[in-house]
Amino acid sequence: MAEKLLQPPDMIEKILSSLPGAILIINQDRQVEYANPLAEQHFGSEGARLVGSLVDNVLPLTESRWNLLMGEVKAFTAEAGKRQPDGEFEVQKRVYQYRLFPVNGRDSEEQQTGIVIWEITEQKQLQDRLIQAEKLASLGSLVSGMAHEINNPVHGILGMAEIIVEEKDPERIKEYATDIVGFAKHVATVVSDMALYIRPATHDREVEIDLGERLGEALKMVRRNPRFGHVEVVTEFQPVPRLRARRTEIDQVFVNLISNAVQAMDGKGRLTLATRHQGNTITAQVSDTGCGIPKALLNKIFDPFFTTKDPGKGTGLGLSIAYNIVGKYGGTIRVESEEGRGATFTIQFQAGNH
Amino acid sequence: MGFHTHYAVSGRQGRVLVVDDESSIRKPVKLTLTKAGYEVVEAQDGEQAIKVLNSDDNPLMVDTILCDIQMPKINGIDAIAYFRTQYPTVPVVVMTGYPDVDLAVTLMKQGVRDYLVKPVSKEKLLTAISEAVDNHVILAGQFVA
Repeated sequence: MAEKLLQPPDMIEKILSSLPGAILIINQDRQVEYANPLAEQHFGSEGARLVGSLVDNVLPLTESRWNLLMGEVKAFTAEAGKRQPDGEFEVQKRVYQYRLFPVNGRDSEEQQTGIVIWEITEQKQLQDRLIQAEKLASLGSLVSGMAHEINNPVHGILGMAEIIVEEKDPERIKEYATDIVGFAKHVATVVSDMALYIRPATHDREVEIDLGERLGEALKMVRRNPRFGHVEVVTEFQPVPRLRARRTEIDQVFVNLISNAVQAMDGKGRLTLATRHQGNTITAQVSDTGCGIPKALLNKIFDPFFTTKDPGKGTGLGLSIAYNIVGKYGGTIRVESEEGRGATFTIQFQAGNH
Repeated sequence: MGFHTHYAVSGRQGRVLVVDDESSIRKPVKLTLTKAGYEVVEAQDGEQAIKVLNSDDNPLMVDTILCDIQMPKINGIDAIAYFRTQYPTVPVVVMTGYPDVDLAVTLMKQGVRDYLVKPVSKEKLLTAISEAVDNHVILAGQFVA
C-alpha cells in the first residue's frame, strides 16, 4: 500500500498535470518559470517551450493591464475569499478567464506570481446568445419608438415631395428639396442607431468609450418610446476617463437601466443621469423618482428571470445581464431604493481597466 | 362656458388648427392645406393648442383640429380629451407616427373623426380634412339653428 503512494514532488506534479486549468508561474521580470502541460497545450507553440519566455508574449494583455494586475497581486494578502476573476482574453477564437495570485516561496525572497487560466469559450457563447436574446426581447418598446421617429420625417419627405411636384418657383423648390435632404438624413441616423444597438456584441471590438456619451445615446434610444411621456431629464455629466469595453454591451446596460427607470415612473417624474470621477473610480448613475423597489426584493432584482412586470412586459433578464456585463469589465453595480421613493442604480469601474 | 359654435368662415374652405411638435410635419401640412384653400393655425403641443383656442377675449374659431399624439407638455391624448369636452362640435383628426389599433379605437370612441398614421399622402390628408370640415359646418349649422 505504502509503495503505491506517490512521493510529494511527484504528487504535486501529477496534480498540476491533471488540473483542468492552465497554470503559469512567473517571476518579477515576468518570465515564465513554470507552465503545466495544459498551459503548454493552449499557449505554447511547437519547438518553443513556455518556460523562459516573457509572459507578455504568451498572453495577450496590454502593458498597462499587466502593471495594474501585478500591483494588485502585490497588495493581495492571499486570504481566502471570493474574488472575481481578473479578466478575460481571447487566443485563437478561444476565450479564457484568468486570475493572478501571489506565490510566496518558503526560502526565496523573490515573490512569484501565479496565473490560473481556464477556458470559458462555451459559457461565453451561451452568455453572448442570452445577451442578444434579451436585447431582441426588449426591442418591442424600442421599435414603436422607432416607428414614430421614422414616420415623422418620412411624412415630411412625402409631404414636401408632393408639394414640389406642383411648385413652379425654383427658389421654393430648392428650399423644399433641402428640407427633404434633412428629413432623409434623420431617418438614416435613426436606422443606423438602431442597427448598431441590435448588432450582436460579438461583432464588436473593445474600444475606448465615454460613459457620459453612452448614457446620452441610450437616453436618445429610450426617449423614442411613447411611454417616455412627460419625464423630466436631468444630466450631470462630469468628465470621466474612458473605459475600454464593447460599446454595444455598455449601451445595453444603460438602455436597460433607463427603460426600467422610465417604466417605474409611468410617464411622470425626474430621470437623473450622472457620471463622476473620483480617485481611480468612474461612476455612472441612473436615478428615477418612480415607484421604487420593496426592500424584500432588493437582493433579487439582479437574479436571472426575476421580474415584477406583467407577463410579456419584461424578460426578467435585463438587470441580470447588466450585472454580468458590468462584472465582465471589472465593475460593480448596486441599487439603492425605497418603495415609493424611486431608485438609484450606481455602476462603478476602475479607471484604466485595460 | 357654453359650447362654442365654431362655424366655417365664409369665403374660405375653413380654418384648421395643426398641433404637432415637429416642424417637419407642420411645414408640409401647412403648405398643403393652405394651397387647398384652408387657413392654418399652428401649435407645437397640446398646451399651446389649448391656449390658442382659449384666449379669453378673442376665442379662436376653428373648423377642424389635426392633432399629433406624442408631444411634450400636454400630449395628444390629454389635449383631445379637453377638445372633446370644451369644443364638442369641432371635429378632431389624429395624425400620429404610431400605428396603434387600441389607441385608435379608444380615440374613435371619444369622438375622434379619423386616425391617420404618418406618412399621410396629400390626397388622404385633404380627404380627411375636407370631410371633417364639412361635418363641422353641418354641426355648426344645427347649433346656430
